[in-house]
Amino acid sequence: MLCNHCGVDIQYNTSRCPICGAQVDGSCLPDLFPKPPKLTNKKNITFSNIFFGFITYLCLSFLLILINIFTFKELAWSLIATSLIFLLFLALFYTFNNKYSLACRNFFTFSACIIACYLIGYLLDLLYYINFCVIPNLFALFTLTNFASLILFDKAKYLFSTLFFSLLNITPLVLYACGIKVSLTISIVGIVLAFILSIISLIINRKNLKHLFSSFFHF
Amino acid sequence: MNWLRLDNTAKIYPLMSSSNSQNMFRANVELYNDIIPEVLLKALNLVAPRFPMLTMRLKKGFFWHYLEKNSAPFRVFKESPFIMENITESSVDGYNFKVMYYKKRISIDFYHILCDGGSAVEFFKCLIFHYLKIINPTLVNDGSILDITNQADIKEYEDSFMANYKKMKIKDLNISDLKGNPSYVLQGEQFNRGKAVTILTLDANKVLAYSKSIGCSVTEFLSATLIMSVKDNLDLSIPHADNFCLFLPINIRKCYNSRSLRNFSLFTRVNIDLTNPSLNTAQCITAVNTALKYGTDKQVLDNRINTTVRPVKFMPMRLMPICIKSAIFNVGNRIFGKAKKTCSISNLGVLKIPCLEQYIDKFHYQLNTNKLVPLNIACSTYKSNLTISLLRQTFNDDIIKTFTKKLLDLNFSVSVQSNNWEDNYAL
Repeated sequence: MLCNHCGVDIQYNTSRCPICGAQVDGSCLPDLFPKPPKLTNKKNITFSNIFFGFITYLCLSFLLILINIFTFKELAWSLIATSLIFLLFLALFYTFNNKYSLACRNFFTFSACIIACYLIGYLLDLLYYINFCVIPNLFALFTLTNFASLILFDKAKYLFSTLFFSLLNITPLVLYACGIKVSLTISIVGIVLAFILSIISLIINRKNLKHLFSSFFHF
Repeated sequence: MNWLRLDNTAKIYPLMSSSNSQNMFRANVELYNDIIPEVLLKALNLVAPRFPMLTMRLKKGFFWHYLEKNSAPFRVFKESPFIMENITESSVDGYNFKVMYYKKRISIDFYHILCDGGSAVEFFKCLIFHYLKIINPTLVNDGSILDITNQADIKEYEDSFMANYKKMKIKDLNISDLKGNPSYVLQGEQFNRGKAVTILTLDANKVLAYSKSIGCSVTEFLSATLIMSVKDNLDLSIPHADNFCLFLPINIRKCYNSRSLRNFSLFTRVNIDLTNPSLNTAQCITAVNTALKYGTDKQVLDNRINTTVRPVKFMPMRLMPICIKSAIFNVGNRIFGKAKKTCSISNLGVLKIPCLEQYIDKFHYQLNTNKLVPLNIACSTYKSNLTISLLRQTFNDDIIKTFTKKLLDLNFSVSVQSNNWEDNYAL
């Protein structure tokens, strides 16, 4: 069947010309290749990811409970911590599972970061009596999570969110300059970490910067 | 034959294979009637013993991979929609080739450790002949098919690289000639599974006449057309746009009078600066011609064979356990692995099987792609039909469209077949 637009002879069942894209009626022609089920171009979390994640969770929880029992002769805070870790794994599962929409995954990234911040803060508070500052921890973890996403999924949008959250690490400094009391050490560590990660992200993606910009604006 | 060393070029393939890509190619034959799988299996059982090196299992030794006798029964498979998925130990019972059928087509995926395109065709011709002979016992071999009643000759499974190696010092090797420079990489979102195939069929005589009229060969004409198509879709923001590298495999059996049915081919590279605004088809043809002349020069070939073989003969390399070799290859590839070619164009030439002409409609083959080389082109001529198979793993098919339009603009009548792979994706 000749395409009226470009003149190519189409020899298989199709509704559009593969060369010029014009509408054609190839329903009378044979299917030359077996048809696959509908595909999606997204990577999904595999069974092994879930399995090893769960094993890690069990090991961490067991370790925390042991520390709690043998060091502090109690059980209460380790149960809170293990619950938080469980929530963290759950949030990370949804974050990295591409079956869900980007907005949904961003929501879970955010949730994971908050849970992680509270978990770290709670543990620091209990173990070392350090008054942790949520904000720099939060932004540093945002940076880390986004960096991990960037490495795992090689997606442009994560580079920009990494850069964005790196910039947000300056917030505690701004707060400090305004006279609000925050933990500067953690903030500075967060900034340095974010800066290093951003540089690495840029180096990794140096070839694709133009595409990164276009996809960012698309996003 | 209980075991066999991998040939010189094949040694590197298992070390470099990943879960995403394997050095593979697929040969396809389209008959006039639907394929009968039982007969195909019968023919495979009949033909396979004639090609002992093809019917072996890849095993990991202490120093190198090797091939070991495989006694698992053969199977034929219904063609999967996913073109050239990795051949794994479990998927084909240890064999390194996979025979498939779909409607009127028989396809075989070959893992490159076994053989190259030239040898694969011999096996394929033999299989088709015996498949058809079971259906039609009056069919007679006119000499173009290997006789399966004969034992495989030792010359057929020699490693011709080793056989033609001449001892030389490492400092005399021209490694940079083989290594190449980082080149332009075709960009675009890639399929996470499966590949898109577009098969163009043209009248070989018309293409040959046109090529002659502009003073070049068919390979040179097609290569030049491809280069100009890439130029028309050039993305200047991508690094190395000034080094488009077209990879042309060359069958060197004739140069060395080799009858080997294993790997015995080298390649030549055409390096072109696509940022040059005055670049035209004539310049591309000259560049391809020069590269082909260089790549088929006997002295260059001798040096390349020596350069390919010498590292394998290098004692520390030989004594290194395979796990370390593999680790070095993998880590090196991840850190320093840059594309040294933009795409490949392989022309298998004219396939002549006079005794089967009334039974075989089409012959075409495909070269596997990978993340860094997402488009490969394979051409072959059968019964005055030039078939150009373009395999890609990107959603973007602009180069293929431009390439076809260029052929249409030259008044060639082009037939097209495709699996429209992108249509299967819910974007």
